[in-house]
Amino acid sequence: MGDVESDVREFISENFILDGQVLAVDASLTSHGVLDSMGVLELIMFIEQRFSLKVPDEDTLPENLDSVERIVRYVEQRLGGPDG
Amino acid sequence: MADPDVLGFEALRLPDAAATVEAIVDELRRTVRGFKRRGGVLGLSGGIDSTVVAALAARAFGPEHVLGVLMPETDSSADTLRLSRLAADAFGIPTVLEDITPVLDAVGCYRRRDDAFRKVLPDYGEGWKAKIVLPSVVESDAFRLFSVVAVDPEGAEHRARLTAEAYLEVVAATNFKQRSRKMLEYYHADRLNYAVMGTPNRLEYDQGFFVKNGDGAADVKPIAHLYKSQVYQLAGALGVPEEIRLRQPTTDTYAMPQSQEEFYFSLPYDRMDLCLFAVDHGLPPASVAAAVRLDVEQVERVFADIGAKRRVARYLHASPVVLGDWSGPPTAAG
Repeated sequence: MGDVESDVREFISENFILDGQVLAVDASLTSHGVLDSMGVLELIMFIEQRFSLKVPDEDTLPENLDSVERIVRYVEQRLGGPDG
Repeated sequence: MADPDVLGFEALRLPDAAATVEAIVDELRRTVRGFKRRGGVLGLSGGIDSTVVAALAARAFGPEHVLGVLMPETDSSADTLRLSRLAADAFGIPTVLEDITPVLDAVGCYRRRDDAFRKVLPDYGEGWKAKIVLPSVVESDAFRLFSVVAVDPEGAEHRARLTAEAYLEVVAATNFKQRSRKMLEYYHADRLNYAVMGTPNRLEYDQGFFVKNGDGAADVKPIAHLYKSQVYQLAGALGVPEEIRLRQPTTDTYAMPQSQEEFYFSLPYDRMDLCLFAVDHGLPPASVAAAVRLDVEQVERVFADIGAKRRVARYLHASPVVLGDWSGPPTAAG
């Protein structure tokens, strides 16, 4: 698979207005006002479509989705490791 | 001796509900006179908020200068119309019945909503009933994602998480209901030279539990500064019929019965009120945990949810933004 982190970063910068803000990989997307309740739905849809995964309700936790680093880790775990 | 940093429900008690009624009545009368309008129009739903506003308006203008508009539609609960009439009769307010089902049909409200439901429940169709629901914020720190819960004509329940697209389309379609009602309230207000009164309480107003340019639109909002618990206190002082005071708050938007907690708030209104009061007064989660029967971590999640809803509500509260150097209309002298 391609580079999960660059795909996630591209999705976030294209879909959420960051006003030129550059987020650290471990910055909370909710605390920085990037991700709201609608944004979470959009993020899940992106993960499911881009990586052909089903994100079950029990996985929709901040520890899986609330920073670039966490999203990448979650997606890579679901795909079976960093090399897919 | 009670700990001053620990709140109980008495924090929400108005010192003198009758005096609050008189103060609102006086301000309502002055505000509407200032608009050069002769009375007030409001939509009656049979719920506590619209009934209290109707009673306040009847005192402010005299009942003959208030019009209650009854606007049921095909998904309204069976009680809505009867309790709306009970409210109007209790305060001698004239009413007009405007069934908005044909308006909603014509604009495609039901068709568009059902098309959106079918994106996640492909079999949804004729004879089904549905509502959208949110999981509890107190039971887990998972993101709260809307699901549709539907019952098919055979009585079997179906449930599916909404996609972003389906969720937005369901909300956009059902918002026709609140906007059609407001259109009719303004029709009657213009016809009678009255002002339109909005009926949100503080919890709803603060947290954005309204449709922009729908039930969020009004010329005056007499109870938007009062917690819902305080609206109930006014109801007692105003003599609102007991059946209305005991009615469970509902959204009355979907065909299946839906509580406000399922759809929007984290907790029942009285506990939600106390949490909002604590946030408003800069008090920590521990100050209300015992009263709302939650642990501190759960209250922290409720407080975080209050903050998140306030961020979403900023757009709902915003007036149209005029760009450029417009500084207002010319004065008489200018």
